[in-house]
Amino acid sequence: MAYHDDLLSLALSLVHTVPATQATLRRSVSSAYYAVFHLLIAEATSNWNIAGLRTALGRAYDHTTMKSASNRILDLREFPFTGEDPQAVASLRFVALTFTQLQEGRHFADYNLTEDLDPTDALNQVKSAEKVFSVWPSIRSHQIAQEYLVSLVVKRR
Amino acid sequence: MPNVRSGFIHQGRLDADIRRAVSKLGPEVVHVAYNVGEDSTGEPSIFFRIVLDDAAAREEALADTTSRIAAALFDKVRPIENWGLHPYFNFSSQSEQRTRRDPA
Repeated sequence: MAYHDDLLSLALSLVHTVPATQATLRRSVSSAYYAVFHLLIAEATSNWNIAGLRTALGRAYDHTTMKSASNRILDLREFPFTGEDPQAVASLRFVALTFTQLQEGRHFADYNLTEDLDPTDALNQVKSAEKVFSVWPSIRSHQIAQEYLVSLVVKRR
Repeated sequence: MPNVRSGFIHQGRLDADIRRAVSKLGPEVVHVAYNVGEDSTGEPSIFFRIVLDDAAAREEALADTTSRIAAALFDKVRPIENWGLHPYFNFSSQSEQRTRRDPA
């Protein structure tokens, strides 16, 4: 299995740990975020012809740029996606929104101990990551999805 | 009146927009609260806290239910376009909320 698949399996396993603890719940959310993070990078770098260089190319991706790109395509003024397949647009927006949610969720899970992470919230974040994995294959061949992958690595100037 | 980096938010109008959007959500939504602030990267944001009834919080349907609710709030409130706020959605179940209020 690919690394991102392993991370998703780990997230699912952690979120189902009985008894659940704050440690298992928080690590599940963190793993879910990194599963999606590495899925998107793997998808983007898979377009590079020389397979042996893809992991090195993946080092160019960073969290902030990926979040900014994901935020941008949620803005209807900037990305109305006129004339595009509405189902593909909805799926792409789900992927982008879930990425930003998971990144914020990971930040809470890893650093913010001022309040407990609810089991339902943790489960939702892991299941949303799982849904990204199931939705992505249906849009990966669309031009808008490929443009999104490119935007994840391009800093806005 | 909340003050975020992009400026002041008209609380009354935002409340009205959100109330309208929440009224269109299904019966599985028990309660919706929100607050405006900055996210972990300092971006002006709106944080929705949504309580689901326990049936809707079941694992089999959870991701579909929450993505539908988030999309409905996103489409109706238009937090980015109308308010300059990035939305975040946190979900909990009714039984978890009861446990929180009654730790005994």
